[in-house]
Amino acid sequence: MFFQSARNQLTFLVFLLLAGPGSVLAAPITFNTALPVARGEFLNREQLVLKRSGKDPSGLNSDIKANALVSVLAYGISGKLTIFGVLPYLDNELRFTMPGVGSARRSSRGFGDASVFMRYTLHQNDQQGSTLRLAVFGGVKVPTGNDTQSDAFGPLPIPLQSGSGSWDGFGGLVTTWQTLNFQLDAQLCYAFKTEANNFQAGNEARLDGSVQYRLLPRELKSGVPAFVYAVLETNLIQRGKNTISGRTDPNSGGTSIFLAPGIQYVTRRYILEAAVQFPIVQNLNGQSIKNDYIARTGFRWNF
Amino acid sequence: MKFTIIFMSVLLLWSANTPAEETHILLGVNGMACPFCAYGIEKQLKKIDGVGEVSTNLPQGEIWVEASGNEVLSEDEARTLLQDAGFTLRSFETHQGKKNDHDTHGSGKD
Repeated sequence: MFFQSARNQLTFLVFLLLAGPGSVLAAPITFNTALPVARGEFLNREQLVLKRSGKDPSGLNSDIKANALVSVLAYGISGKLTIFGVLPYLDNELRFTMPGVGSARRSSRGFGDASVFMRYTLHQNDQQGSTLRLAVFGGVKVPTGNDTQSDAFGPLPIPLQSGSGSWDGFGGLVTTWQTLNFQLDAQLCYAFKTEANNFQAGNEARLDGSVQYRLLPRELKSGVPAFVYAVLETNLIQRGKNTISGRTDPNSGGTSIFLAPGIQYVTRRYILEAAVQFPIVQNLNGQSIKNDYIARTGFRWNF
Repeated sequence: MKFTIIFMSVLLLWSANTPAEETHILLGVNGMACPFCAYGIEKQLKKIDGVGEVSTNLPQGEIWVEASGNEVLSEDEARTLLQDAGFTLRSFETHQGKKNDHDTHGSGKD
């Protein structure tokens, strides 16, 4: 009985840390951009995402490590239309303490759900050394990941599985103002979740912002020098409550705001980048577990 | 007659070995504001038959293209190519012969 209750509770605590299609978009570091991919060209992005959480108000002493290697392939259909494919490889681990039993560990590893989405440039104002763009995007998360993994305790809770089993949709707007000295990006995204395995995650709305300021070279001369950007991003994420077997879970959903300082090294052919998202507001429902930080590092490659 | 044939053959061989007149095209590009963006345009240009070296001056928003003749890239083709790459053509200039002031442009090679 206790185990069943604890398992359900942990299910929803874990969910907050593992969900969110916005985190797999292409750029800046924590979300997408409106900048183009040339017709017939491919871009590849690989990003390692390390999520850590140990602030558990439930008394179960939960500690969660959720690692993901997120691969993104973008293809330019035209100067305005780009298609993206996203495939994460997930390594999730949940440690918790059960009274009378001691510490326990549950984990999963494997490819997660793939996402496919398209982005179309609605507005483009190009000037010498600057561009202002607004793009709309929309896509679907396909349940390609394994959602039937189990361990000695039985089937893993859905949020701990590599796959969700559900078909989810997402869409939104993204805008970019890029100059030779700085870049501003903002994104509004909404994700619709569907039910699978008697579990339905709460829908998610998010508002993201990013500013990138060129630190090096301090003075632009001729040619195409590599840029070093200081990056500061913020993510406002609002998640609805989950439902399990038709019942709303009070320990799920809520509002989070992250602040993410980072750095980018931008050359003609590749970009190296890293950022750490620190939660500055976590107004979560019930006994939802809270994030400690989310670290991201990776590269983008134009080939 | 024999002399004429020899003369024509020599003329043909000479013309075959003479390189086509080199044309340099200076593209003014709007919307290009980072190194990563420049590479996408350069790749599109290098796919064109007859295009040689391509070099970009990011601060000026200019791309210098070496072409093997006048017919390699027209202004309309350049405009379409830049649109396909996601950018906007601001200006188009052609120069015959050796290009001047090339030292001010960075190399398009990696």
